[in-house]
Amino acid sequence: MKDAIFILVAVFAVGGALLTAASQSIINAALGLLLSLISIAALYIFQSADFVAISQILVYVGGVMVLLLFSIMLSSGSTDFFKNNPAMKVFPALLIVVVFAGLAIYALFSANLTFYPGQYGPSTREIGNLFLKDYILVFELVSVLIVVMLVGAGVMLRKELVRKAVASDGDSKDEKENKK
Amino acid sequence: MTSLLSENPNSYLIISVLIFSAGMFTVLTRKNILAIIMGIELMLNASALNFITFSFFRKSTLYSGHVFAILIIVLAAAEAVVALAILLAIFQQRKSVMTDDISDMKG
Repeated sequence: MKDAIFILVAVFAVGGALLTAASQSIINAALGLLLSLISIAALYIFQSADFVAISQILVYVGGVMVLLLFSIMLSSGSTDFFKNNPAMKVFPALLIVVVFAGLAIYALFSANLTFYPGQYGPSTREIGNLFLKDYILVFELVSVLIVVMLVGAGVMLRKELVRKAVASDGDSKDEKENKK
Repeated sequence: MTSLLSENPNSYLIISVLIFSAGMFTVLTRKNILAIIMGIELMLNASALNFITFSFFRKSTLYSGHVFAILIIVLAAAEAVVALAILLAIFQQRKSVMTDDISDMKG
């Protein structure tokens, strides 16, 4: 029973990722990413990482995916969403990816790692202790990073700034035309 | 080691490799910046899954792995916010989100 659910979740995780990689419609790609993210949260629960699973659902599914869908809707004037990258055709990219995956799986099976059966238990207390003892510097730096991110995103989308950039872009085009 | 797939670390690691490969393929082949961001998110998630797996299948769970997974989630969210802000600023200027329309810094 546990294995049946595990296989279902694994198929959803990998299938969502493949949908993101192969779909020709950007909305389908975003929904594939959503499916993959939720299934990865389920895989965290299989490994007794309850706190990480909940953060994954809250931050990724509730935050990042909504932002991503908003951006897709806002930039929908740009047509030909999934034109491929001219510098990298599908076949060489596939070759690179298959070689990478083969090497990684070969390394996994030739490394002779010793694993033990995992122990299930609550994790929130230990994560809190680690964040406030061993990783306190990282914790504070992340707070600073989030402030910088908020200010940066606000500044970047200020109206005057964008207008100025549009105006200077128009000027440079005029100059080019004058030179011609 | 038990025979259950869900209690075998290799199955998680192989899922992680497959998701990472899908993300890498997306980043390599797409021209749309939004799709490239999606590929980066997939790769970050695959590495976080690896951290959790290696912290779980030990004699006693190593919670530093969980801390790193949470840091990856937070940094990915920050990166997505800034990247999408840049993308919307670019889109307001030139009505396009394709990487080869944004080549002003090319020498």
